[in-house]
Amino acid sequence: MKLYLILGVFLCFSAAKAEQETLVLVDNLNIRETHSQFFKSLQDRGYSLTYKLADDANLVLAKYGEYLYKNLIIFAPSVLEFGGLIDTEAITKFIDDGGNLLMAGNAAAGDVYREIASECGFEMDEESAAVIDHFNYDASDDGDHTRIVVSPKNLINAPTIVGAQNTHPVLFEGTGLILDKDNSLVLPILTADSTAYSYNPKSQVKEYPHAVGRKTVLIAALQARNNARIVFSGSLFFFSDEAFNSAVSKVHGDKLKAESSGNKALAAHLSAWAFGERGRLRVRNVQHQRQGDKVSTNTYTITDTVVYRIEIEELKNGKWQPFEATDVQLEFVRIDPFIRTTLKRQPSGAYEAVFKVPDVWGVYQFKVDYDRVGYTRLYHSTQVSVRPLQHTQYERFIPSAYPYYVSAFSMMVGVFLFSFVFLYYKEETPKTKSE
Amino acid sequence: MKYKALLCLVVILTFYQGAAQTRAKGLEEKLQQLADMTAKKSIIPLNFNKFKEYVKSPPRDYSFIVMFTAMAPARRCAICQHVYDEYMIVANSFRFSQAYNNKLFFGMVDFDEGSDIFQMLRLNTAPVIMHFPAKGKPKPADSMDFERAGIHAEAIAKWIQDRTDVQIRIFRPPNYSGAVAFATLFLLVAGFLYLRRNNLEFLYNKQMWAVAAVFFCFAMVSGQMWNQIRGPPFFHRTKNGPVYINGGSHGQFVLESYIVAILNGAVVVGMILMIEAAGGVKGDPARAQAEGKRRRFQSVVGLVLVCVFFSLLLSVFRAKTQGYPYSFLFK
Amino acid sequence: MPATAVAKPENGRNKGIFHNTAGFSTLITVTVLSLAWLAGFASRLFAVIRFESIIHEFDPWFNYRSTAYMVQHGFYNFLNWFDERAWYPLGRIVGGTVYPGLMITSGTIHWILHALNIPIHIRDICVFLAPVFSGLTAIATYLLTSEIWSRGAGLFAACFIAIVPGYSSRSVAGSYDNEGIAIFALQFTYYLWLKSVKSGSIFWSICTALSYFYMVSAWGGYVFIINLIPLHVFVLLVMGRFSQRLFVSYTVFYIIGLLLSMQIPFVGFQPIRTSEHMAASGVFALLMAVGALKYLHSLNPKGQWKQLLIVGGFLAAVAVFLVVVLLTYMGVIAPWSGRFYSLWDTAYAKIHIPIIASVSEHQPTTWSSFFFDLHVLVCTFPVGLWYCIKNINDERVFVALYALSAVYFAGVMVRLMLTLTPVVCVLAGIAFSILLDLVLREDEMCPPPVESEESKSLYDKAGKLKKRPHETPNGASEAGLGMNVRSGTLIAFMILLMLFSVHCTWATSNAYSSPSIVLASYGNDGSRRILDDFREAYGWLSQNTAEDARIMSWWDYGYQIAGMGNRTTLVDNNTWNNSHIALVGKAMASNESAAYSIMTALDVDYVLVIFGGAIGYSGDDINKFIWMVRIAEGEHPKDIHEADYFTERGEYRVDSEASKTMLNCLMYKLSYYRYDSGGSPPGYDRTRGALPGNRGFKLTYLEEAYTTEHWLVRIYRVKKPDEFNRPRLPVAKRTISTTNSVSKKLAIGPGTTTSKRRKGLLKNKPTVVKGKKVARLE
Repeated sequence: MKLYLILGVFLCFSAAKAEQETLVLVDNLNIRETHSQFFKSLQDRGYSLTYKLADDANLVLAKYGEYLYKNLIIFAPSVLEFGGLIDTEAITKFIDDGGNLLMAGNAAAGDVYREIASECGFEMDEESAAVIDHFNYDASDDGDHTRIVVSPKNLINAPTIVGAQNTHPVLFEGTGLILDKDNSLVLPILTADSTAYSYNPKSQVKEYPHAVGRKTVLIAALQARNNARIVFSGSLFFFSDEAFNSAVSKVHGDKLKAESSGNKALAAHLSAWAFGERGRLRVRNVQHQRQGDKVSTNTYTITDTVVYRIEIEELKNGKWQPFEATDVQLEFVRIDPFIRTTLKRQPSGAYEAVFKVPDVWGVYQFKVDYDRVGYTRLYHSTQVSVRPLQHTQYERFIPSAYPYYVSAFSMMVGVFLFSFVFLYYKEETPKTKSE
Repeated sequence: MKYKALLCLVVILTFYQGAAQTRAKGLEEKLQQLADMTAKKSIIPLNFNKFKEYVKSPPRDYSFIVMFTAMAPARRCAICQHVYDEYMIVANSFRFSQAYNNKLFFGMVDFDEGSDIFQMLRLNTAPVIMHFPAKGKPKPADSMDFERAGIHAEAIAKWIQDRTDVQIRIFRPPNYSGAVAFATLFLLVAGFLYLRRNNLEFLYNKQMWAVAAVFFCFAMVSGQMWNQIRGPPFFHRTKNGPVYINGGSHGQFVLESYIVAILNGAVVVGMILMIEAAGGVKGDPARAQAEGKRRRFQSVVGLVLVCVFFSLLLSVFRAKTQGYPYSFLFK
Repeated sequence: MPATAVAKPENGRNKGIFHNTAGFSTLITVTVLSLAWLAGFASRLFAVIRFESIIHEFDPWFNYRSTAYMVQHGFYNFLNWFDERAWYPLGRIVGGTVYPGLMITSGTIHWILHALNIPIHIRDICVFLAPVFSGLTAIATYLLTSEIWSRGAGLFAACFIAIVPGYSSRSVAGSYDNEGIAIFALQFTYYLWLKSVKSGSIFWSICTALSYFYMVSAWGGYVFIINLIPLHVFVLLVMGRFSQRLFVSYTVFYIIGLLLSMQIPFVGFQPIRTSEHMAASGVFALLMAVGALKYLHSLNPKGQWKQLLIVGGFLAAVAVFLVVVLLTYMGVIAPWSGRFYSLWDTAYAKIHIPIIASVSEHQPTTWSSFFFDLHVLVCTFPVGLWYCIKNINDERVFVALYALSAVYFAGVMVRLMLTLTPVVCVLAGIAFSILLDLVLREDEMCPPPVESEESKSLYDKAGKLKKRPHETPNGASEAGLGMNVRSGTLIAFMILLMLFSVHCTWATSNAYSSPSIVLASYGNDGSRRILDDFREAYGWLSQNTAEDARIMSWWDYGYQIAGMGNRTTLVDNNTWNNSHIALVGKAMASNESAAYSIMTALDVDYVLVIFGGAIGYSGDDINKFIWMVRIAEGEHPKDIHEADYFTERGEYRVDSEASKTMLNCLMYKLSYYRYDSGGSPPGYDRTRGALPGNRGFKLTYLEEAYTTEHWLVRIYRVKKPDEFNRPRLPVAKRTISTTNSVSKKLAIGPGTTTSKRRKGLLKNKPTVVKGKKVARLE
């Protein structure tokens, strides 16, 4: 829980300083030109890009344990082995330390790409394989039907990642990705149509392709558990100026036409998400107390009424603002959740829940675990102990016990009187006898 | 019994109508016969060819629990009887339970009927309870391990549940033997007292009570309770003669505990002798008049008893306890 | 009424004795008792002298911790103490689940000493409490025995109990446990009870009730009292020894004692709701009935009323019994709890409650441990019993019952040897006193056997033989035993007593004086090596882990972790919640990934295991492991099967023969992870005498945090979920085969790859570079 607070603080700090160091690895420098619009848009959004050749002999990501770059862009499909201190390990370490990665390959991409991809939980189809779709390919295709047109309907339904409105179809040319179905962190951003498959366009299909139909993912993303973000595109062409500018005209099927492709917008959104401009949450402040008191305590007595208040903030274009949602839940957990309730949003922007502590003593945790597609995982847990009543807190006089009180006291009085009589009545009797 | 067989038959037919074509014809018959036999006797006695037919030879979709035993008195297999009883309890409680189906059958092979089966399975001990799974050969774990699990019906049922996922709730025929024994004892005592009602003086006989109490003490102090709980051997036979004293201080043999009880007893008797010789607790003059020789002799005997037997006890203890330094008279 | 007939000469003699030279005998008595106290105290200090002034094994650590808490925060906070560090996440209400007598006692001593400006740390009070109380126990025993027989016997009994191993086993310096003070309370309560039965005065019976209250506050063994005293009363009734004295003393004791005992939070309403206490109330009702009948009988003492008395009493008994049974069936009264039930049905615990059966001190007792704990007393106390029964009276009925019940319980459980020891001392003291009394008495007119008392005591203490000259002049007499026999007897018994005392010293110093948290191993040359791994590990925990770190270990070590490491534990030695313990057992018994899910559910931060393989310490977790499996199986029969942890042939072993489940369970891995010590071949397990079957494995979900010097304690850190950051696909799971460069680099090792700055490779590098290179060549 601490970790997330720290992370949040660190994120806001890094967001505060506007420009983010970004390393761009290319396999030849004229990619700067061919993809200038994309880089331009990044620079406009305040990233300072550093272009390096992927085989440059003095490539470093970190110096003296400090990372020089916050983000890493790899547009070098033809790299076989990175130069300098960069290799798959270094990159994975970079990710594990919270760096963001945007990576784009193409049909010619080498094994390094596959390594990195499978380090992130998905796979890139084997070398020289490309996504082929004989039904939705672009007019500008060169006969292999590899430059395909993907309708925006195939985008993942997550506005934080791909932006709110994507109406224009998207051009794509490159290899497909295969997702490991049994991990929940990897997101298929853009999938191909059901008619697509991924294979080497030059040779004819012998064995069954690795990726067929909607299983062929074109752009995949991963938000690691430490909220590092990776966007992996099968096609470098996707980010190129050509793709940005060219008009889309599908050959077959419904005449899907647009004077300009949706690549530009989508690329902008993707990069914005990948480099953490959007979809970032943090816990600003948490407080919980008995209803009525002001100060926060961390021991409650059973059947107390507790007020739990948490303030969540979202990073919106560079500033942290209160986060609006209706589905933030609170759990009160001792091994199993004893109470699970939806936090109500106060006008002040804080989320609040008021509930009664269960009648079971023990060590509990307030847990807020908000994990939504496109947002950083928001997890916060506070440990409190719920203790039984103290010996002074039981009610003193139980109504149903009054008969016993009465009997006890009457008994005392009775004994006293009896002894009194017993002691002093004795004299009389012999007198009466004698008389 | 009859209708039970019928019921099984109906069950079988309804169950196998669909599958009858695919299955071998033999299966239905076998199941039916088995069901009939089970209806007659919840443990099916098996001889060689029965064993081959029902247990060994396919087709078989039922698992078979078979007990190999030697019940004949000539075999002098004491445990076999117990195991048989427990096993019978399991079989019965399976047969009369709701869980009863024809996926599981209980059989028994007596050595004297099917010694060749023993040879076939290379068994040279009895009793053994083996499980023949519906498919595949029996694994080593398919023969029950009495040492670890014990021979209780519950243990057998648990083992069966492990092997074949058939849950058997053990239903023991309630045994009133304890209650009956208690009642009879009570009646005897009551009757005795009633007969002796005119003089109940013997109840005031302190001698008797004292003897009883002291004997109880001997029994406990010599670890009879341990014997009763742990059930050690009477004594240990080794190649070089029997061993009466367990070497370790954490174990003991039954005979050993008797020896210890006797030693304790001797010491006590010796001490009592001495005390009585010296005039008893209440030094009444009558005893004092008695001639001194007998008393001296008596007390010397007592003294000798005490010293000798206590030092024997000490040496036995020393033999059991490693590194115990002290001893008296004897090493 | 034979008892009265017997009782008369007793009282007569006692009077005769003690009126003559009361002052002298008192002096002797005081001397002997103080010497006994001293000897008892001294013989319990071995642990302190050998090691240091430290709290011993397991439970004492909890007692110490809560005592310190009470001293620091005051009594009421202690009473309301909710300890969230134990039984995470359930927590434990300490105030309501302990017998506070121990803490209160030492807290009071601490308070008094500080009021007197004697600054002493509470730990030292706790360490030395039990030895001090042993002296009090001796005095209580003296009083009890002199009530039963004579002051001489009392002195003997006091000296016996001061040093007998059966009692010092639980009361050496540092074993700061309830029994230490409870035995004193026990004896003292019995003394007061006999006093009140004899005198029939309300004063004494109220004293009994108060002392009983102290006992209740001190130890769960008070149930023994509250069943034995009613038994005594009942037997007296059966023997027709009903008297007003009995009536008064029992009724007063029962009512006051009941009310007082219910004041202890831990006891609460048990005295009226559980079967363990029903004997007392049943006897109370019966006594009332008999009293009423007696009264009726006294109205006109005619013949036919006698029958009415007997029959009526019998009917009353039956009625009371039936009522109790009925209430039990209706559920008003809880049935016998398992621990008590296992005393009657000796096979019960073994089948139903593994957690009780797993404790070593709940095992039955062999004769050798009887002898070890009682030595000569074990074969002399029947003599005392014999004579007590031979000339019976009310209090001797009591001691007889005490002896018989205690000897039965001691036979069933080693631990209850503790309740047997006092009565054995009493009876043996009686036996010795009778004998030496007679042997030392002159044959002619009985001189005051005061001297015999004195001489006895002297002999018993130090074996000074300077008493015998006194005898010689008038020793030669024809009628009695001659001088030689007397002296022979004397010498023989002196030798026996000396043997007894040396045995006691030896046993106490060798068997009972090791504080099991500091181990000592002796080399061949007798040199002593101290293995202090436990405290090393707990110290590490307290220094290097987070304040609120939760440590998972087997329950034996819970109190120590809490006491020394001051960290949160999941289970500890008061095994009140079997299912929680079973959960921990399941985690230990299942494989790593399954265990990880359990551990994350319980928020475990560290796992602590005890591993004795390197030094041949046999009490480690692998040897206890089978009990963990059993307990876990009891609660989770679907997931854990005991049979899986044995080999095919049903052996329990750890080498390559062992079963797969065994080799892959968490406990095994944590014990043998990267274990390479233990002599040749490296990794040899000395305790099991085997080479572990599964070695060189890696841990996925845990990482080793600390291992002590002799590998005795091993601590592992449980990784947090966010340490498994990326869902990376292992090479095996990939569908697309690659020339696996990562693993290659890993093989070389990261250092080599990252250190040198090398040029990368591009696939279709522009030929310009090549051309340039060629140009340069030419």
